[in-house]
Amino acid sequence: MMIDNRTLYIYSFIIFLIGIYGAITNRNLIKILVSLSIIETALNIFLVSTGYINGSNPPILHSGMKLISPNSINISDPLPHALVLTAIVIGVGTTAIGIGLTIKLYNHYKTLNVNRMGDKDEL
Amino acid sequence: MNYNLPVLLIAIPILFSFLSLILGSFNKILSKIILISVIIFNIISGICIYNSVLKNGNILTVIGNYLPPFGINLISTYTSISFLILLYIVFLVASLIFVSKNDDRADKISSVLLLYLASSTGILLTGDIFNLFVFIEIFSISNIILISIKDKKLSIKGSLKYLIITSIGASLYLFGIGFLYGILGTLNLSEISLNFDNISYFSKVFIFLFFLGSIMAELEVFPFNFWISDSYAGSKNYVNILLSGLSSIVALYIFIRLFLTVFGYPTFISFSYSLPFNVKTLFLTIFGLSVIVNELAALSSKNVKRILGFSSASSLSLILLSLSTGLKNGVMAAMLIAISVIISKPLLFLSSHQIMKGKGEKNLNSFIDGFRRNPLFSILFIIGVFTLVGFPLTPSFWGKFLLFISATEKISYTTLILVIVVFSITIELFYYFRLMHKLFIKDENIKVEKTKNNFVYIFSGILLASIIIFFSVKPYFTQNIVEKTTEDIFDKSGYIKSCLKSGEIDDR
Amino acid sequence: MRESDFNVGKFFAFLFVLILFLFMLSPLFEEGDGAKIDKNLSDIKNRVSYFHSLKSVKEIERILSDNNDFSKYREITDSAKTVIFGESKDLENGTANLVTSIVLDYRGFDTLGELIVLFISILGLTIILSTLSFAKFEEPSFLQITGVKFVTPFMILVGIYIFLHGHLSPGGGFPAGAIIATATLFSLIGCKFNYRVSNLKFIESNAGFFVILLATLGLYFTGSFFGNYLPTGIVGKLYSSSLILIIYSLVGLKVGAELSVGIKTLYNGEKDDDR
Repeated sequence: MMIDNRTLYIYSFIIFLIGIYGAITNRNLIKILVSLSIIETALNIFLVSTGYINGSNPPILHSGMKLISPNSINISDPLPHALVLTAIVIGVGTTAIGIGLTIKLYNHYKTLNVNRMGDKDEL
Repeated sequence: MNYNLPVLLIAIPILFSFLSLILGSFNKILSKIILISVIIFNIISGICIYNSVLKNGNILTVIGNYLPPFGINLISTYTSISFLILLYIVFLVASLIFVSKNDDRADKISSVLLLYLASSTGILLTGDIFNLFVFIEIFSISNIILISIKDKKLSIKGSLKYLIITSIGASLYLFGIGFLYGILGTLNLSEISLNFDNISYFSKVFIFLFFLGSIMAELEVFPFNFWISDSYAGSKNYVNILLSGLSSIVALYIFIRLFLTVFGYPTFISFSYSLPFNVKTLFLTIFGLSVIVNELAALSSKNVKRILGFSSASSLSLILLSLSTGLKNGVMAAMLIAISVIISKPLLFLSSHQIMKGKGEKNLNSFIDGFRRNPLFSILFIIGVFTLVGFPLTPSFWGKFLLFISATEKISYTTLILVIVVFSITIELFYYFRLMHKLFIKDENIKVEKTKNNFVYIFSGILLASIIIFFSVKPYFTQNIVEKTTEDIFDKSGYIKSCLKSGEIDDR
Repeated sequence: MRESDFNVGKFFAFLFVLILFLFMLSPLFEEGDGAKIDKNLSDIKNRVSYFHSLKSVKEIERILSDNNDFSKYREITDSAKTVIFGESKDLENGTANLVTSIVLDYRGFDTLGELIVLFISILGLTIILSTLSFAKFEEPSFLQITGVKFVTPFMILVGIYIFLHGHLSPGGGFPAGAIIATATLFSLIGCKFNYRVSNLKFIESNAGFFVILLATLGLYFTGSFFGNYLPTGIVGKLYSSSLILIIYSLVGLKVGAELSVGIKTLYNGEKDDDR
């Protein structure tokens, strides 16, 4: 099946915007963190699809495979894969910290709703 | 020439942050010793690099033995290395204060501080756009942790706000990187800046605005500035110093690299952008609005730390405003204001903390009778205020003066810049003088006890104040530094040449 | 307090998102001159990763050094260079998995940063949650205990296999660490295996320390941080690209220990740690 990169980009944009909408409108901290994870997933899809070449092999050599420059090179771009690996790990780190802070806040306020976390003497 | 000292500025703190955790499990003192000695190592090697940059020009450091467009590289320019030394001094002050306190999590926090040092060094030195992203992430995660260590409601809330803002900012940044890589096929900053002009109309706008949005989220600029109030008021003293001093240096440097070197095109007197809309108007609107909003927020706050936090955000916006005029005078003004803000803000936080010591609430009234309680730090506070506001002969005065001059060069923005600067100075004067007035109010009913100052506080306060005085009484020295920095910022082709060996850009 | 299904805030958020979507679509559908993001990418010849895939960066560097202009590397595409699985030997790096060669060799510094992000976030988790204690989970059932005892050793074995073959097949240190951490999670909730956080911290910081030490040794042997100084061997063999093998094993251990610490901390705080 032919999928061009533009379709993939548009899918990733839609997922990204779903995440943004969730992060703006939700009042529950866990849901906000979930929205941030959705945004990260969209980013990973986008980054991978910048290196996607239709009908190409994965960038892993296996037995009998040759890479001969300049013409017989039929693999997708390995660099975005490496970037995505980094981005995933960074996303995991941020989510872990976010969950820790949320647990802490829940212990203080006994609620996850952002609107009910205000104090009177703020200024 | 492959000069490897800059990479050690990043590698040594990382190495010792692991070691600090291992050794700190036996004795907490060891990790504190490691922290201080690593900073001293970094200061000394920073000065060595500064000297060789003065002698040889920009220094390229190759990582992994692969030359620039293929591998990751570090570039030490005059700007980055002089910012770095300033950053290390502020960091030394903050970590001395950290060391003087007892904390049973000292090994972990000193490990976080070392990574903070490594990441801010990495941001200032790296020549690769994705590497910059990685370091920004480390930087913001360590900021989040440092804000949250006070374990109060306010600090946890502040750090969670910061986390949400920065992760949205980071995602915008990554989208920009994806687009740049998809179009240009490279991640090297020099090569991107060489080829940015060739990108098509809408892609350019897209990349520019996404990067702008992400950087604004990190920069404490107006629509994203609501995390400041909680995170400054709810965090510890040394974290305040780091947030106000280090974060502004780092944010400023990211702005200079991305929006002046990569996206901008320098000519003899000003930067220009090859974008379809007027970038300078956009910048002036955003940063001008940010100055005004932050000043008003500072005016309306009662908590002293909150006032100082909003004031530091507004002065950062003022620096960015004068940078984004793109004129040579404007950039020089930005550097002069930056020097005074970066040194005086930590001094203000330090001295206000000492003046309010022993008072339960940290609001305006805890400043009453401060001069009789703590004369030394009251004087230091006044020095800090004068430097920040722009008392004659301080660098900030010359900076604001130059900004007025640069405003006269550019006819269409003159009134706007003048109005914003005068407005900010007036409001700043108002709320700082209110604080200073409170220092001298005598309350006859209460017997005044002199506050005992810790030696570390006295040392760091006097260190910062003497740096300010040094910059003020040696105007030619300051002028020399600032002119060299400005020259370096405008030398885009030099930056590219030091990385890719060649690459002429057309002067327009 | 129930919020109504339709309110003004949600409507404006939707409008904002819609406008953002149209704005994001504009670079994909524009027509005009200038470089655009590829609608249909056909090959990777004008990207840096072309030279990474062919493991020929050193050769290109030699060609470019002659005319001293590194910005024109795209014009050199005709250098005859072949990488054959199981035959080519002593290349720049001997990984059969090209992604690994980028992750740990060409862009190793990024991976270092990535390791630190994970390290600092788990450290931060232990700092943030150090004063909390959590409610205990309920006792595991017989079925859980038996299942976990059967499955956990295999999971650890698979994890070790994956990080040892990181340079040959998909995977590597990070997924392997995740699998090992899942095994420890199973043993924690399945049979109350109460490992000590301080021991894992020790493994974690030591592994991180040695990764940086190995990278710094490159300064001594090759004159550059993260330089490759061990023999690279034949592409496709297990003992090829020794440095990547060692670093990925350390990364696997580190990530496994790190995520286990994170899980333990989220499970019952640092209170149970008898330090």
